[in-house]
Amino acid sequence: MNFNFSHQAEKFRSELREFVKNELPEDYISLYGDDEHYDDHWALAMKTARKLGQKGWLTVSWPKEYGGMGATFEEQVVFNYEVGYWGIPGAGMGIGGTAWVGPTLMIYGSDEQKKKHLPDIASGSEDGVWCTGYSEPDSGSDLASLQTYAQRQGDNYLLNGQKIWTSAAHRSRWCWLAARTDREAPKKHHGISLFILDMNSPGVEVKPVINILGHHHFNEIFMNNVELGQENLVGAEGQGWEVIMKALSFERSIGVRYGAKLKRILDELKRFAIQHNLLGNAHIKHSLVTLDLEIEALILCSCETAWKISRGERIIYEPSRDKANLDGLVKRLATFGTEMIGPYSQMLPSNRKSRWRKLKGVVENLYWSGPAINTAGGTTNTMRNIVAKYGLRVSAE
Amino acid sequence: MDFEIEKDRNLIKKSARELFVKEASLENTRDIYWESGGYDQKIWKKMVGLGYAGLCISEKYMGQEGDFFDAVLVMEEIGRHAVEVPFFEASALCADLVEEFGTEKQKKAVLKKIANKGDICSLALLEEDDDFSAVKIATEYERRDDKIILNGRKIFVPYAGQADHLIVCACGIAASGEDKLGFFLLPPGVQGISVNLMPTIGTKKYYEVVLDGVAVDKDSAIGMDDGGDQMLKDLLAKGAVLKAAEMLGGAQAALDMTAKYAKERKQFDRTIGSFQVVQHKLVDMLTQIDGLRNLVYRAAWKISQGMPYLVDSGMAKIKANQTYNEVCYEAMVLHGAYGWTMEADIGVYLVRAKDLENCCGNNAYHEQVIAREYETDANSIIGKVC
Repeated sequence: MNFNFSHQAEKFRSELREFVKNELPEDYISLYGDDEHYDDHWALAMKTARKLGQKGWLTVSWPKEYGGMGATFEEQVVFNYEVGYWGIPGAGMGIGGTAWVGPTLMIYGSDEQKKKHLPDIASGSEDGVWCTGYSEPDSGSDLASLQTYAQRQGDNYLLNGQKIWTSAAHRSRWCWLAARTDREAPKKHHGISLFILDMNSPGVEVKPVINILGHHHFNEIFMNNVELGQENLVGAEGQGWEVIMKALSFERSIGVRYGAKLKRILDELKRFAIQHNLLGNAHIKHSLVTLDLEIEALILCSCETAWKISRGERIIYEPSRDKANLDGLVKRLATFGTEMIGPYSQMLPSNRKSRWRKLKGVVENLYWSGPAINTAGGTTNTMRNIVAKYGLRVSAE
Repeated sequence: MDFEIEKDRNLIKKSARELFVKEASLENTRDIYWESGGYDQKIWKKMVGLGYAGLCISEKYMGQEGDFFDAVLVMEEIGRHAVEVPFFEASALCADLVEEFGTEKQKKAVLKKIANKGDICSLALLEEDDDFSAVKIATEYERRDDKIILNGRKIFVPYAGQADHLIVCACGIAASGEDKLGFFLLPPGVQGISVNLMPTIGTKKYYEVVLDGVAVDKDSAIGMDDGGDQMLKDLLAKGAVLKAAEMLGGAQAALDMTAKYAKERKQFDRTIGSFQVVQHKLVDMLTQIDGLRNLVYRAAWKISQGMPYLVDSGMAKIKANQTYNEVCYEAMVLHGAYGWTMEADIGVYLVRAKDLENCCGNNAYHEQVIAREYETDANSIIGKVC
């Protein structure tokens, strides 16, 4: 048993901190949705992605044979922690480019697909930016009920349908798209296929969905008679659900990143409390300590999950457990943060230069974004259902 | 970073569990509650025979040379099976104190007897107060010729009616002239002590101990003259982790029995576990326990490695206090009315909650400890990795 990181991993941490010091503005902190909404943020994200790519740091978890660092699990954990803590932009390559599109293509993609897409993701190229097209207006938690239809026509497909809640679609070159190829399959899961959609294809229309902050983060994607070929299909026709599950497992193994992001916000609140002599306030002291230990517990659990994965253990419920936990902590941390900064919590997020904004707006951003975080990547309740079914095994009747 | 428990360590844990599975029963634990015997003598005898009593005592005094982490794993099993034995008091807390700070004479008088015979050694610490966010000691020691006189009143002293050795924490004037805490090993049969059983709901026998002009030799002092305050801080921090481990084991047992019940109990022609609210409550319990486990193991590991541990210990204890109460309480709720009966098993776990929570520091105490560290580290908060 060992709770320290290896010398190598700590060295990597120092290098990442040096990178943060050199490449990011001083005291930079990341707010949910800002990268996708603001052009200057997006530009910084792409610029940083290029620089990360040059160092091979976009593909820290990728195997060496695919241009990755082949990093140890400890180096990956350290990387995810530092990315989350300092808010290093661009590391995702859109939504999921590095985290799950790349790794899933390595398993299910054809040689041509890997050759075509992996280097672009790894280098931080604009052609390596991805969005993920899963949810539809009538298919959210019940993803398997999706209706977007890729109708088989000879060797090709004609794609029609609509996706919604597609983060960063307006910034993405490609879409990792789930579509139905078999409407007759007795089990709805088995009629799904995973496609690579070129966002520049004729028939693809992206419409912004503005959120309560007035920000453009989400989109609808309308697909109107879009032509797809075999080269767009990832894995076999009808294998889509399996591919999605694999991608989701990658998505859920970077939990440390989100725990670290909360840790950063907590540390900012701690510093604020000390600077303003607030530690004598019993409620503030109690809240800071409680949130600190909860976030530490979450981070340790996420590290443990990553450790299990690195040992080849088949994990099912742990990432869902961590995600549900994270959602609850987001709400608690944000609620306490807004108590600390009081009426300044109501400052308008899109007015970035306001002199009334406290802690660079990170507190109210977390609070307003909370419900969205709860829903993204699977709702909290869905996560709990998974843990109940596969972890506790209580849901079988 | 590695979450696997080493093979030989795990053997200690496994063996303890096997012993308890075989010998312990909640029926016994309930009987102890009603009897004055004080603890599960049959199991303690077996533990002595297997070397658990001397687990962390050095070989010189017939111990097993185990370390703190080993003790933590045994505590987890004790908690899981709700076993009532003086392992924490004698084998962990007092043995550690005497081993680290005791004179050769004191070690000989106490350690070998704990390891070989299962002698019970108990620490008299807490005193009446309205606010337990700090441990305030008013029991006094006074030097008179070459004797030390102790006067005061201790409460919640475990096993005082059964103990072979008592260690008392008192305050007085140290040789430096300052007010300092001291720890004193009382010889068996010393005059001036009276013990009264405090009627508590858990199975551990707690006593009020009145010290009325108790005279002991000056070589009864444990440790350096002015080291008492730090000794107390460290003792509480280590004890907190041991208790957190016991709570970890107990919470897991409570969850396991409730999940089992949820799979068996049917209403409305379906198992109650098939209802989403029931599932979600159980999931939240699991999540809390998994988080607690990692905090306990990290704190235990840091102590075993000789690293700073105050913050980790505090986090483990606070999390344990919250988790054990939440889990046991909700577990009882999920058992319906039956859960509230003396017959049901879940009650054995719940009724220990307030003992465990307040032993070695409640939340207010550990919040203070952690907040103090925040202030010390003010300039290096951003970017500090635990």
